[in-house]
Amino acid sequence: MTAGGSARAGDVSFTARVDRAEITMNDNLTLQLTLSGEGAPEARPRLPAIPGFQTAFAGQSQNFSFINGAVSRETTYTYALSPQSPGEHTLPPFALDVKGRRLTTDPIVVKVRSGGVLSDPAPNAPGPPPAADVHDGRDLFVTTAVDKKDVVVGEAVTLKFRFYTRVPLVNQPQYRPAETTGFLTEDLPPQKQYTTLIGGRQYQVIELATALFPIAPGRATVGAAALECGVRDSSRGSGGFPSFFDDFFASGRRVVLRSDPLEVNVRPLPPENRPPGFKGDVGRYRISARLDKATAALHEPVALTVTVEGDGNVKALSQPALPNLDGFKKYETLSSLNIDNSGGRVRGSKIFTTVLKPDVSGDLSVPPVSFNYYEPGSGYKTVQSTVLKLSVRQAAEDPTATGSPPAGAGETPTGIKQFAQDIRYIQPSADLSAAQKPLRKRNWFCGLLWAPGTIFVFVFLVDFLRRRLDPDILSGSPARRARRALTRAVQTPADPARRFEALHRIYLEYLGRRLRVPAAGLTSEAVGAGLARFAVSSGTGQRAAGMWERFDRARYAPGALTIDDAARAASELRVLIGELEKGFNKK
Amino acid sequence: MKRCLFALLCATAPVLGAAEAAEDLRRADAAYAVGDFEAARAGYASLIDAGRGGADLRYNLGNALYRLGQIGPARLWYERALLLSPRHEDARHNRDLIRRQIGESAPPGDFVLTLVNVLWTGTAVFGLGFFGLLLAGLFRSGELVWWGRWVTGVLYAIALAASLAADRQAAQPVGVVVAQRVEARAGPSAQEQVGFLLPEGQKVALFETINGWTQVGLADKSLKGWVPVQTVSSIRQRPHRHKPGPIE
Repeated sequence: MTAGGSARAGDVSFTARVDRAEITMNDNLTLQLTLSGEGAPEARPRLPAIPGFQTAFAGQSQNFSFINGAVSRETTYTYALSPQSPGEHTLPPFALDVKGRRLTTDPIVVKVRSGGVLSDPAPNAPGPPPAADVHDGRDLFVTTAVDKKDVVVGEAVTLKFRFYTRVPLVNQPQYRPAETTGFLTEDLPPQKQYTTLIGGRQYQVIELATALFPIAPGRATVGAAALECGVRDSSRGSGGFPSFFDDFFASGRRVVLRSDPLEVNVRPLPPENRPPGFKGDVGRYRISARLDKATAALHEPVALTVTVEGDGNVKALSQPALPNLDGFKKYETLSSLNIDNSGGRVRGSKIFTTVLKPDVSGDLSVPPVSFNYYEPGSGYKTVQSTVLKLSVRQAAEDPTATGSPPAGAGETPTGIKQFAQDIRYIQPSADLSAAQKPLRKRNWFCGLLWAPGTIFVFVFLVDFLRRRLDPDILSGSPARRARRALTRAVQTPADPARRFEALHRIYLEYLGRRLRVPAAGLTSEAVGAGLARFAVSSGTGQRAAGMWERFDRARYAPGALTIDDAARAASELRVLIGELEKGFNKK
Repeated sequence: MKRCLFALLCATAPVLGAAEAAEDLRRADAAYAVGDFEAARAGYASLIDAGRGGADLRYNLGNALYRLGQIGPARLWYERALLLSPRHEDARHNRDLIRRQIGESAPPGDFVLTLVNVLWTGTAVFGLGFFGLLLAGLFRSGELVWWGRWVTGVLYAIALAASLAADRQAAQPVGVVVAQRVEARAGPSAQEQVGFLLPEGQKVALFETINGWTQVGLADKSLKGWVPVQTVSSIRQRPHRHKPGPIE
């Protein structure tokens, strides 16, 4: 401390000190208020506003001394003052009431310069120049080291971080672990503390260990670890161990120490002799298995516990494949973990519990469970558990043996006690005829289902066409209809008058359809005009007119007609219709 | 003479084959009765392979597989028996027992199958009524016949359309997990993350198959995942196939 003032009341003294009288704007000023003497109050003195500085409480310390049987106590309160503006600032007197008297310190003048060199080293700034050894005689430094630099994937590497110091620390060091990308990590507590001699100097060492498990081949890097701590500023000291007064007057100084990064070469696991079922476990392990009971009822749950234990990354241990468990129904496997990281290595066990239910009675066995791993330096290894035996009795033999009915047992409302549920028996002499499709999948049944709809649609369409469209579409052309009618007419009873009448009607209907006029309203003139419109030849037109007159005559003189006349007329009408058709079709 | 002998052989071959099959069945039943379930399984399977038997024989094969501890294949054959005979009471009982053992909540597809059957029955009834009223309309016309024709016709058309729709729904392929503790992954690759585990005997809906991986789904839990194709088997069976195998 370079500047300050004090006040005294009896045995009690009150002192204010600052570490420097001149600082830069980049520096912090340390203010210490010290109360000493018998009867000094324990309350922290109130700090008044200090113009030109921003204040922060930085902690307190106490010292007790016994001199001639009397106890003396000294309490120091430390404040960090950050300058807010350059210039000359005055720290005001600090006051404290002791036993009814007011103790007041003297004002302290501090000069703040606008620029200059930092008094504290930057966190990453190198320490003082080397002196004797690789650590250059520094008062504190950190190192990291690994026990192996050439390993296989999954092999444990122990990383040790050491903090060497030969000066007292004013606060708890803050440790920032190294970046360990590419590794699974496991802390190895507890931290060790010991002293060691380096270059003839004695250091206090704090050692932290971490287990690293590389997860991929290649060059893996362990980054720099850092440690931040506060040390007493012994810049006024002689360079060796600080004297009592140096130590007394020293102030806190923040120091950040960093270790150098390290590289580890990670080799892949050798492909030679790799056993089938190997899942990448590395270390040294053994396996055991047990059943939670030696006898069980049919379908009674039994716990199979498989334990893999040893040295290595136990947390990442894979589940051993269970063998074929004939006669058992197997359920989900659950796992639990026990890790013991003491002794500077990772070891422990992983326990896999599987619930089994015996499906058959008798003496059952659980075959050995195998586990494959790679042991660095020795190669691949396979360990096996022993064969386990289980005696399974029929549930119905002694339903009360386990104190409760077997699984699924229950009492029905009728009072019938059911001891077990099982599948029903086979169908003896089963029907050997070939499997039939279900009824709805058979073609004939599908046909039947579709038939009503299909028939309905068909009938509906026919009816629609018959009603809505030209009847000729369904009953053929006028000529064809006329010819069919002529054939029917000559088969009617041999009454010449009726035959002529039928022939006349056929002729009228034919002409009506062809000329698209109602047959009832046809006259010989209309027929002539119509034929002319269709450009029927004049000869044919004349024959058509002659046929018209012939039927007219027959209608008015039916008594002169013979059956042969009717036949001839029918024949001629058939020829005439043919000729007319040629004319109509030509148009 | 040779032709006659050949014709005689052809005529009697089915009879001789039936007798031989009956003997095989008797032997398989006897093997099951004395606890030789492997022999029983082989016997039933060979008969089904030969195109023999229906729901009962498949049910018996399911029983033999169950006794051998293969509850996945056993469930598969119970489901196949129920496909042929949905009212097979014993197959339904044994199938439901397996369902309870593996904690399966509800049999997916049973409701749809029942609905399909009801709809097809309705279609047949309405179709028959409609057809009868159409015929009746040829001989007598009346208001009752006219309205009856329309009502049954409309119901028949609705039932037919619903049946076809439900049939399509029921046509979703379903299968059974035939391996123990199958891991269903997020994609068709062993590198994909495991989404959920399927117990042996679980009934699943089957979707597409890519590179030896089949997408399966559990409708009641809204889960979908990819499993190796050999770990599930379709319930709909190719003719004369009995072994659980790739998806058909």
